[in-house]
Amino acid sequence: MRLNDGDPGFKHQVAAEPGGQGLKSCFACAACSARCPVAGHLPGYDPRRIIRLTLLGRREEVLASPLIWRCSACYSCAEVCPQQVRFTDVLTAIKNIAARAGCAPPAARAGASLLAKHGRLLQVSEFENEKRAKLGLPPVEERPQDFQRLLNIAPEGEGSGEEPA
Amino acid sequence: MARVSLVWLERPGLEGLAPELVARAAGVALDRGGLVEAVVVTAPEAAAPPALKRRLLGLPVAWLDLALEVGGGDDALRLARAAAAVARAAGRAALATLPPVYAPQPALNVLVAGAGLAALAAAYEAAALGHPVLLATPLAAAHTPGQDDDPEEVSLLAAQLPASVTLAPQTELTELTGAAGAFRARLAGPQGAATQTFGAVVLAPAGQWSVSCEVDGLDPALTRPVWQLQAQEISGPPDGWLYAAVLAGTARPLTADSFSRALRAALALAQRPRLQVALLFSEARVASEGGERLFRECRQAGVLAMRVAPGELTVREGGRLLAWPDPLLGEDLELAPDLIVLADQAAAPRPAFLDNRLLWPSWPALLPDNPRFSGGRSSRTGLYILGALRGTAPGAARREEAADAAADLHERLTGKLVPMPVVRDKICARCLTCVRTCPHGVPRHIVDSIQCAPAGCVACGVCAAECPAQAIAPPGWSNPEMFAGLERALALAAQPRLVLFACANSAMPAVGELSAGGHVWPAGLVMQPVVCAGRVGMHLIMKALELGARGVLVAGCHDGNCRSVSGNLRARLRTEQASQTLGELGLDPESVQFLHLASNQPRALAQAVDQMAAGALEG
Repeated sequence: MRLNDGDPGFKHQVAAEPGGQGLKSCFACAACSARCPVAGHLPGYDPRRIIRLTLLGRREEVLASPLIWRCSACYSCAEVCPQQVRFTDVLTAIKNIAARAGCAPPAARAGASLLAKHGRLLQVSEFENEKRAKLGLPPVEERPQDFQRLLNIAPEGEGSGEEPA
Repeated sequence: MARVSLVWLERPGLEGLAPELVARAAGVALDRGGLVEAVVVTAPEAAAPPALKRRLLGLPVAWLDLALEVGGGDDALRLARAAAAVARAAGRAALATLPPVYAPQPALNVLVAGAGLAALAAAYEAAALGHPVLLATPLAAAHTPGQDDDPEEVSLLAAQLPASVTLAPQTELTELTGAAGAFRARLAGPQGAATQTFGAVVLAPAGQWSVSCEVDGLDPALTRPVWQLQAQEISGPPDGWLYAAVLAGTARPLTADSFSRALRAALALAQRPRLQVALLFSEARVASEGGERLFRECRQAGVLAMRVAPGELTVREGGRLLAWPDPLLGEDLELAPDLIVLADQAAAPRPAFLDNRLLWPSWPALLPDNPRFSGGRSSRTGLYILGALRGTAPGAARREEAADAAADLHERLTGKLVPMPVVRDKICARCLTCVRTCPHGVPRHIVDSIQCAPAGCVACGVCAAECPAQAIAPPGWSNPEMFAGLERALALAAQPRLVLFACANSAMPAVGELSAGGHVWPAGLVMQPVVCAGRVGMHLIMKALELGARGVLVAGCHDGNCRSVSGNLRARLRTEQASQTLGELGLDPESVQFLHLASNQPRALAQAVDQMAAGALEG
């Protein structure tokens, strides 16, 4: 790959996104890759590689990659990082950019539309509330309006439903 | 042979030993304060009370740190071990070229050859300590700054030079021999050439910037060395990006100072608008002051840190395209830079006289990678190498280094008395083995005799180990003295007899730690501390075997740790040769062994001694 074909601005864009501040501190020691539990189960998933591609400005390759959505957010990488990169947060920044570019995978979109519809990732029905009543707990109401307002998303929208503010 | 008395100083570790019994077993008289001919004292010289030292003035004294060698075990074993050690010391003292033969007054004047900040600072510091200084420079004036110096700092320092510094401009040092206290320097100046004697010599030629060419075939129109870079004049086009490559040691690693300079250049470029910088290096050398922070600032500013395996960088398309395999992504990366910045370093030409292999060791042996030789010191006592010639960073570090060097040469020329090697002129064959092998450059061949520089000897004994005629040795360390000690000690030792030659810098501290912890040494073990393992040559090894030792263990420092540069390697070589000879004679080659040791490895030493004892029992 020719470095001149990359987008030098991409790393600065990710670093400017909330959570992305640590990106440029990375000195590629691979402590995160060694510690990552996902990398052990998912061939091809390598935190250091994702950071490297981002630094080299390979915008399309990073944003379109299905791998960036596979982080389990366990923060093991942040624990071991000697440069305080906080890869989990960096990846959140990258995912936000990917979502705005329309690269979110169907599972993420489904999650967003559930939030818009129910205010939760789980629909609350009578079944749940009857169980709660038996345990002496107050019933739960669905209040999706809060999320719709907060995330500026429409319920069951025809467009991309997960557009954050 | 002198009669020897034992002066018993009670020390920790000697508890429960009766001095009378030890003296009787060792065959020496216990000192009662009367007339004595030679003395063994059961303490190191530093621990002896001044009154005792005054009383013993002029007598042959063997200082024996007895507590170090006794160790644990029952009373009978400890008594036997103490007796063997006292007997060994008594044997040396009885033959007595002790007390040390001290040197005539060394020359105190200092030659500083060079120019620029390092040379001026060395002259200034040496003069401040009271040494007359001759500042000889091949340039028109000594205060001509080197390319890498701050001219203002240099002229300020030049104005402060005291009157005891004599300036000799247009004067070149063309030849140098000798060591601390007596260097002979040939100086060629406008009035012709002359040879002068100096106590110490400082080499500090003015520095020049130079580029270590990392790859061939770069387009010269794109390249610029760091010292010529004007980053503030460069910015990218309004509609795109400009690419710069900083080559910071892709073929081999730079010095930390050079790497920092490359980092500063990369940072200055990265802070310009729409400029993308790639920093290519084989190793990130960030050990200089602030280097790590600088490297981090570079990355924060968007510099791409690219590690390139040495020699993997290739140049294509007429020098306008760089290519290298990226180990992280596992693919080849390319960069067509608009600008290539080459790392530079301050360097200075090496004086031609140092290429004379008969008189000077190779450059790496003269300036070993050993922290003991930092602060301007070289492996030749009294010779200091400073500034760009050594690779010291420009600026404050050079002044500090010069101050260190001046303090060190002052200590060496005026500090405690240094022993002079004893040369037995009548049996010396003038083979010059000592001149070639002394790691400190002390013996010199002057007018058909071997003469020694008065402030250079550290009593390592390499000369004594190597001299085929047994004609030279530091005082107290000649073969007859050591043989006599071994003979008396081995006669007392139980079977199987073992000899440990223990280097004072590595093995003896380990021995001391084991003994203090109550380690039980084999009853037949005779320890012979030596200043440097290099003292142990074929004569000593064979004599120990001849006197009945079943095993000889030589313990010296690890590679590169020797204070006498290569005394440890020399001892290992002699040990291997002795072992081979034993094999050829049909004897057990395993009975002579060498052990590389550090002072903090007592267990390794204990293990090796036990193994040797077990081997001697079997054989």
